[in-house]
This record gives sequence, structure tokens and C-alpha cells, in this order.
Amino acid sequence: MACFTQEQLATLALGLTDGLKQSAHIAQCDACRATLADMLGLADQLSTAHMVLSDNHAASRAQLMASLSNFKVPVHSTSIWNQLASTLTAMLTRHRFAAGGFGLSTVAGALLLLAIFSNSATRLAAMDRMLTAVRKVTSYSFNEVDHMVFLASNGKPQTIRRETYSACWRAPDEANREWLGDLHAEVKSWHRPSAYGEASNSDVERLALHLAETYPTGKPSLIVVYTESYYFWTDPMPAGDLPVDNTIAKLRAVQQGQGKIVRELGTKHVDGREARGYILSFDEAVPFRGDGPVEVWVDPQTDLPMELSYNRTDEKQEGKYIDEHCLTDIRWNIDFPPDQFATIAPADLVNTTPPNDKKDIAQIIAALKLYADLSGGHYPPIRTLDPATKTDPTVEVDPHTRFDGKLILDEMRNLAGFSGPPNPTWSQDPKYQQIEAVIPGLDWLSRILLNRVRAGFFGTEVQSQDRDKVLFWCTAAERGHWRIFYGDLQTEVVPESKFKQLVPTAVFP
Amino acid sequence: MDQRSPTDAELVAESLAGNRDAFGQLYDRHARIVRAVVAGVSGDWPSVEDMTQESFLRAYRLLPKLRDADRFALWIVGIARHVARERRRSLRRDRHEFRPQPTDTISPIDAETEASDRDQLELVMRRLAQLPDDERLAIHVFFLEQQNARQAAELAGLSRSGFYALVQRALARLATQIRPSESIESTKT
Repeated sequence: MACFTQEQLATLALGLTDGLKQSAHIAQCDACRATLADMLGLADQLSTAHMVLSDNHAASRAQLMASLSNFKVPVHSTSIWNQLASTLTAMLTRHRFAAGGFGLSTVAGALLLLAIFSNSATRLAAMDRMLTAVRKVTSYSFNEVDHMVFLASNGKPQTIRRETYSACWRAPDEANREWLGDLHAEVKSWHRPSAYGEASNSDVERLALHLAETYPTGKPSLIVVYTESYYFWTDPMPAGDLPVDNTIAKLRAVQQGQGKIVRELGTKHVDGREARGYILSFDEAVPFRGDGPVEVWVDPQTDLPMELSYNRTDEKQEGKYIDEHCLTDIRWNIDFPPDQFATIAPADLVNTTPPNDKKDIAQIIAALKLYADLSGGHYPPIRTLDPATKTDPTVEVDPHTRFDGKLILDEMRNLAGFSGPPNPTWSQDPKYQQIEAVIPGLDWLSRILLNRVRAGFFGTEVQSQDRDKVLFWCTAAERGHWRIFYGDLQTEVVPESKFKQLVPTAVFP
Repeated sequence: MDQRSPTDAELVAESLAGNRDAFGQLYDRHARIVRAVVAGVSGDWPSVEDMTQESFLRAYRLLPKLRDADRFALWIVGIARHVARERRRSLRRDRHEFRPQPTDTISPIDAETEASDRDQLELVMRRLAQLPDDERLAIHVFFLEQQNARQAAELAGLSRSGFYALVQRALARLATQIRPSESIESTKT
């Protein structure tokens, strides 16, 4: 009998087959027996390694449950303000989904909707054409206007939020399939103060958010928050980094044949061209649940949508929220100008990107250490606000919620005895020179902490002996990780699970 | 008395209603496949437990967005893949740590007695990390399922014969890659 192949021996070692049938040969063949022994040893080692994880399951579960206790139960908010604040916070923290991701999934959804026409045999060909068209789309752009209307249980409707989106996207080439592609998107969100119960200027809209994001394929990306006067750099957007109701989920829905036409709307002219209109219903089909009937106007020449609108309704205790979405100016397979996805930082805004370089981090530590030395173990008495709190217009902004490096510098000089009118001899004093040397570190802190979503400071609560308390945190260069500075100024980069335990008040990009 | 185990959808609904233990049951049910996926996709064996925790925490936070609770298993696996891909990318980057070196040291005698087994295991896991993705995942699923091939095949979403072929090929390749000359015992003699 010929010797066994490696794979046959592996089958035996793994216990996937009855070894007795082959035992006669194994008993006589030194080579097969030796190889089988090696494989059995290897299987034992693998089993041991994996067993450790199984053995630790109870401890891991306990750790998870402890972490969950830091989370609020994931439920929806219950007031108009919370409804808006949560949207704003989501936009700031998940900016990539707020504008670009949202648009991307919506437009792709529109494409796919059209692919679902065929509940009858005569439309099968149209569906095939549409699926082909979906897969061939290499770029698009669109504009969108949203209105959120609040319908109180016993009152008249009022528009409480208006938003405009624009987005453009270009598919990555084959070599860059790992990335989402080139994406640029911009969102503006206006709120009506009357919605928060303010007495004056009830009809004046307030620009609550103006945000632009640019993701060139596989390259550092730029997020600009104009309403907060800052920008920051972030890592490229991977292809899979989209919400759960993203394009892929919608593609699956199409492949499963969900959705149906409930009404044909006839024709109308869109951008000077004739378009065919349809009302589509997805009922409770995933991932369109909650979108309501969708109105689509299609270019009969290309089978691609030209306009699309739908409403989302959210019923709360205090009344009903109706979010109306309308996409227009949808353009497909277009050539963008060369600088469409260029990332150019605005010169007049502050760069809040946290440092990743050892030297820069050392500067931050040096500044905080010197302050602690001068103040007897304290840190600047600043406590940054939680993002959702700060975006509430009814909250007064306390100056102690902002880290102003210049004020801290003055305070350090005072603490060291350099008070009163400036004296030219100070610059000769080593202590004064030491204070001047930490200006770069204070500057880093001032800039990073402007971005409340991605950084926080707890100087009112933490002192230099607090080695287990977080004094300062910010996002780390490593995706999904945060840099923590403890009270004793040790620093480390931690994943989300640990960060959530350390800083339960933070929100998550 | 109803002896039926709750479905994933029921546990999701209970979790959303504030019952954290329900989420714990989801963890009990799906932690093994999540471990297998994060190990398989990232190739970073020492961080498997961290990534598993991370996956479930993200899932908990995103739970209201899960539109089809019956598909929790597929959904959490998707999250796990995402977490693992992030980890894989992050492993390529430089890190700048200011953490002091641990002051606790292992005595030379202890170190010597433990080193051989540990090094051999590390070698195995290092070679495992170099296998093709599907084979690596098959190995992890198989051993995390305590070598129950039927359950492992179900978890991997493969037919039993397809899974057998994959896992046996993986072990054979692994055995070939760990040549005698590479083993720790050999290098010490």
C-alpha cells in the first residue's frame, strides 16, 4: 500500500475519519507514522492554544458585562432637543457617515430600487439591465435637501431642522479595492431656536453644523468643521467602513428580490429630460425599513435615477418627527476635475489633529508636568464639556471648559513668581526659561482640545498622584484607538473597549 | 414550562430593553465564532480576546441599528471582521509608547523551564498566521469548537465535506511549514 498523503494524514490527526482502516499501513510505515505523530503533536498544540480562550470565557464574559455597565442602554432619545442633538453629535462623531456615507448608501439604494421593479416576468429584462447598470457605475454626484418636521400631538407642524448635502464619489481602481474610493461630501444643518423653547428670534434659523469631508482613496483624509473653526486629518476610509444599512446591505436586498412597485406616476421633465416616475414600497424589508414609500424618477435612456425622495417617520412620546429627504441633480459616471478630491487644509482654521510623534507627545507631557510642579501637583483647572452637552444651545459655555494655552502660560508665570508688569530680566531666569520652553506643549493642548469629540481634559478632577485616572485623552493615529494620559502623565494607546471603561462620558467616532 | 432557548432575535430585543444578561447570552452563544474570525482575519493571536471584547462592545452600541435581529450572528461576524481588519492594518504602523518597561521580571530558572513550550507554541501560531485566510479561519473554528467538526462546519457556513477538506489542507500545510529544522527543540541541540 502506498504511503498516505499529507492531507490524508491530517484527516487522521484531526479525527475526521476512522483511523482503523489505515492502521495496518501506519503500523508498518515509519515515515507515515512519524508524520502522523508530528501532526498529532501539532493538533495538540493548537488544541491547547485554543483551549486557553475557552477556559477564559467566564472571565471574559464578566469583563464584557462590566464594560457594558459603562454604556447607557441603547435607546432613542425622547425630546426634540435630544432628537436634534443626537443627530448633530452623530454627524460630528461619525462624520464620514453623516454626509458621504449617508449619500452613498442612499443613492446606491436608489439605483438598486430600480433593479427591483420586476415582480412580473415582463420586467425581468429591465431588472437585469439595472443590475448591470448598478455594477458599472464608476462615479456619481448629487445634491440633497432634508427637512425635519415635528408634529406635536396637539399642535401644528413646525420645521425644526433643514439640511443640505452634496456628495461626489469615484470608484477605486482594482489595485485599491480595499478602499471605499474617492469621496467628497459636505453637509449644512440649520436649526430653528424656537424648537428649543427660546423666546426670541423664533423664526431665525441657526447654522448648527457645516462640515466637509474629503477621502482620497487610500490617503490621509481631511475633515473640516467650519462651524467649530477647526479641521483634522484622519486615516483613509476602508471599503467596508459603512453603516449597517450600507450599499452592500442594499445590494443583498436587491438580490433577494425585496420591494415592489405600488404605483406608476407617469412622466415629467427633470433637468429638461423626460423621466418616468414610480412609487416603490419595501414594507419592513431590510435594510430599507423605516424609509417609507420611495418616489423615484428615472431616465428611460439610461435606466438610472434622476430624482428620489422618501420620508422617515419617528413616533415619540411627545409627537411625531417626519424627516423628508429629497435627492436631486443626480449625475452618473461623470468625469471630475483633477482637484475634486484634493485635501487642502483651510489656512484660517485650527488643526486639531493629535500628534503621533514621540517628540510632540513629550512636549505635551513636559507642559503638564511643569504646571503640576509649580502648582503642587494640580493641573490646569479645565474640564472640557461632553460633546452632546456643548451642542445644546441652552447650555452656557463656561470658560473653564476651554483649554486656552495663553491663559495657562500666564498662570504658570504667576505661580513661579513672575507676576506684574513684564520685566526684561525674567528672560535670564532659568525658571522663566523653563516655562517658556513648554509653550509648544500648551499649544498642542489648546488645539487638540478644540475638538471636543476627539479629545477631553479632566484637570478639575485629576491630580499628579492619580496614576489610574485619565487626565487627558485624544484619538490616536491607530484607527479605533485612543491615547490616554493618566494623572501621573504615563501615556498609552488603548482600544475602544478599554477607552470606554476609562472615559465613559466620551462619544465614539 | 417553556424549555425553549430564546432566539437571537428575542435576546436582542431583551438587550435593547435594558437586560444586559440577555446580551451576555448572545456573547455565550457567539463568542467562539467571533474569536475564530478575529484570529483568522487579523492573524494576531495575542490580541484575540481584546478584539472579541471590542467586537461585542461595538455590537452593543450599534444594537439599535440592527434591522434584522434574526441575523445577529451574521452581523456580529461582520463587526468582528471589521475589528480584525483594523487590527491588521494597525499592526503595520509604528507605535510610540511612553509606558515604562515592566519592573516585574521572570526568574531565569522559571524562564528556562517555560521557554521551550511557549516558544514552540509561538512558532506554531506564527506559522498559522501565515496560512491563507480561509484555511486559518477553518483551523480556528475547528479548535474553538473543540474539534467538533459538524458544529465547526455549521459555524463556518460550509458543507461538512467542504469544511473537512479545508481544515485538513490547513493542517497539512501547517505541518509542512513547521519543518524539523525550525522547531525549537532542534535549534537548541
